[in-house]
Amino acid sequence: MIAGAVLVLAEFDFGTVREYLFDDIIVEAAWRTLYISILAQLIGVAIGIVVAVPRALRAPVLSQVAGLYVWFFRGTPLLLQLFFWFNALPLYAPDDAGVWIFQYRQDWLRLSIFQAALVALAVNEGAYMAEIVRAGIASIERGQMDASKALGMTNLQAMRLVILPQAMRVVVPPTGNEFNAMLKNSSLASVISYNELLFTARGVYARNFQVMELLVVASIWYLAFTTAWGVIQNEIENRLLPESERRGLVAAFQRAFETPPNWLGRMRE
Amino acid sequence: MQRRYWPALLLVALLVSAFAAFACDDDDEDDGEPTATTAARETPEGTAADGEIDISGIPELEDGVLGIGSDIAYAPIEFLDEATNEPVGLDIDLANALAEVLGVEAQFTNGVFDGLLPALDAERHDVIMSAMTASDERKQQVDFVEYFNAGSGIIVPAGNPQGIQSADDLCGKRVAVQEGTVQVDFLEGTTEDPGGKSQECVDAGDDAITVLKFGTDPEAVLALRSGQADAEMADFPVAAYSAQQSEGALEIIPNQIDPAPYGIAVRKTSTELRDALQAALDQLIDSGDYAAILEEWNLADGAID
Repeated sequence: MIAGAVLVLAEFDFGTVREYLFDDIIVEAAWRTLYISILAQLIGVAIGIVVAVPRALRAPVLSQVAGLYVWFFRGTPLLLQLFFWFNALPLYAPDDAGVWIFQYRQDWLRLSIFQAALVALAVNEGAYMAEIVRAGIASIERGQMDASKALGMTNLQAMRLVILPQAMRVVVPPTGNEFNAMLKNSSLASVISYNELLFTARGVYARNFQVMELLVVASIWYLAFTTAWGVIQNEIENRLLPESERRGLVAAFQRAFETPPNWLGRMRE
Repeated sequence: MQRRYWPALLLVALLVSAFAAFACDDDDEDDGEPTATTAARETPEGTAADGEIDISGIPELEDGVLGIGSDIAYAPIEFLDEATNEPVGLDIDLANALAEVLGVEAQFTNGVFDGLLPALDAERHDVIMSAMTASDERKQQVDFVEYFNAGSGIIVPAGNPQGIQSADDLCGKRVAVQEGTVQVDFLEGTTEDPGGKSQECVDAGDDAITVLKFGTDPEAVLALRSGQADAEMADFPVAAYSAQQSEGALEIIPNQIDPAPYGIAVRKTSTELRDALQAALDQLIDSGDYAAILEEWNLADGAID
């Protein structure tokens, strides 16, 4: 195994990695990966909240529909869902129909590659986010809801103004984790020929046969994205903490200017 | 107290079974890859004499098995039989006949096309037999034993709504193809010869071709059927078969594009194996078995001289 690793390293062409790391087609593909991941995650979070709230409120019918959605999209592979949105939908779409202004066109269900990939990733993510938001809501004491209602709020007002803001602290860390996964899961969109990072790298090595080199190029980009996100996520989580508990450089500076550090005081004495 | 041991025990049991799975890996390739063994010796008697070619000293054949990597989703060249789920097709029959001449067993391992050459390089297979065109680019990586001739074919929805008659009519259209194939090279060019048909379109003042690439050929055909592509390209016999199997939903444009030979790919270092396969193939051609196999799959047009 070690001998194999040494052999691979000896044959490994770092020149190819350097050549392709900032090659236009790779950089473009990396941006496409980032772009679809961010969009899909944002939509996923929105779907997650919309689906979690009726479940938490035990709204009749709505909560059952939401439960069915979560059950289905968490229970089937994302790969399969991609094929569904891209191929099955237009293939089995009913013919044009409609009366007056209520028109339906078969073409509406013919999603472009990008649309199909985005819908598949976002709808799948929404199912996971719904569970995360549900856990966040469940972490808030029941009494908060009762107190809000005693102040005359409706269910939805209480959710929006009291429960959800407090749930954020529980919801944010796993959401960051989900986005980290999304950055990499977006590579599955390659099965419907969406030109993201891994798919593009595969296209290049199918032609020049530098397989490992191109895979390393792709992994460097993925690592760059996930590392950058790790820093951002840290900062977001930090800001959700009470000021005195905040970590990191930004918080340290803020504290330094608000209250003089101990050594300053000692010097004055 | 005793109860606390069971998670640890479970972990140990998992590790042991994982280790055991690794240990048997050499004997039976039961590692999740769909593997199919086709015993060459079971084919009817009366074909070429067994083991007429001396294979002693060919390291790849010492185990009595010719390990073949193939993307078994390319009917009628290679595909999984609907009833038995066993590989069948031109390549399978030819491989069995070749293996019989060499006195070994042909064993097919399924893989995705654009991963086959790297897998050959990593010595996961002895050879690749997967309707692989012996293109100049690939010849820099591997050696080929050429055994069949085929060009590319274009299939379109029945009635040909876009009026596509030749490759020139593909400009500005969405064309579905399988990743890593010569059709991708044809449309997009290669590293050494960039451009391709799409660039020709642009140079002629027309729109570029949108090339949609999929992991397997059936996925590309599906994209055509679901209206996500205007045309699909594959090797001509495969495209013809797809059109024939579509029950009237698809049709093929009759002319072949750039006919070129298929080759059995061997590593550049496997010179003895390459020569033995070439000798075995020559023997099959001389005996008439080669022609019979092609005839059986209705592919006699593609016979090499």
